Amino acid sequence: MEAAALESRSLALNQPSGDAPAGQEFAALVESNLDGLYGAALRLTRNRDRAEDLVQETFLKAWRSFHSFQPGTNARAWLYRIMMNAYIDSYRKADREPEIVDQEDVEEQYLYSRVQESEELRRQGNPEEITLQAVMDADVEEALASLPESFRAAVILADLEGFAYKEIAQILGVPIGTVMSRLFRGRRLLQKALWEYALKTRRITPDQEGSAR
Amino acid sequence: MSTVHCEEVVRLLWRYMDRELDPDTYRQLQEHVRQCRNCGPRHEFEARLRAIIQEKCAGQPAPEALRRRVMALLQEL
Repeated sequence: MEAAALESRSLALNQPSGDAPAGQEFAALVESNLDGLYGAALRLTRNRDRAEDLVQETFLKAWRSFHSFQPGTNARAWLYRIMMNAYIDSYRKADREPEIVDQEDVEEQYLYSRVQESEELRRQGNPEEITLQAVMDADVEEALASLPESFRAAVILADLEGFAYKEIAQILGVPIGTVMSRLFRGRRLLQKALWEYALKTRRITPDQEGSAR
Repeated sequence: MSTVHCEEVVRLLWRYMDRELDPDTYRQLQEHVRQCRNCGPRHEFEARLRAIIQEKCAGQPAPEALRRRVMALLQEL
């Protein structure tokens, strides 16, 4: 446990001996964020072992810089930031998939537009209900996993973790404009994947040009 | 009195749902969405879709082994 040994030394330097409150405070932070971080790590890495390693690394790094953490600031966002950095470092090192930037200009609310266009759905009665039912049956996790890394991260942080744009900007270390463009593109791609899933399962039959792709 | 148009709603709907608009624009959209027969259902669809996505991707608790690993780590530090 070399890292741990180093850790105790740096701790001794940074914190007065017998500083139990810091340890207790940190343990409380771990307790209240472990499940959330693990869930997000799982969505990011798509792999249980890697998710566990990432969470462990996150807490180790967090403890290392806990002395510089300002009480009263957003601890949750701070932990996510550490995790995102660790994640980005690890997948840069690993054989990371190249970031595919979909330049295709799909409109906002992609799914809703497809639903409105579909004659077939209209014939069947309630287009919105049929489509939402298809999404209920779809493998949404798989659709989310199919998004390119940076878009997926933005969607996870906003739609699953409930962070504000400003917080996501801090977590990812990018400007708010970049957060919005990644998030919106991510949502469109997710909706596109869900629409394609609905078509594939034949809940919805393509009935016009362009709707099948 | 400026009123929002439907195209504006289409463009700003996600930011509206994310509560990331200035209060004034937010109120204008809110009013429009309530009254408009095009934008109301659009908003409702997006809201339900988001709820389904959240439900289907709901996180699972961290494995007990991980909790133990992290807590053990803290003991050592």
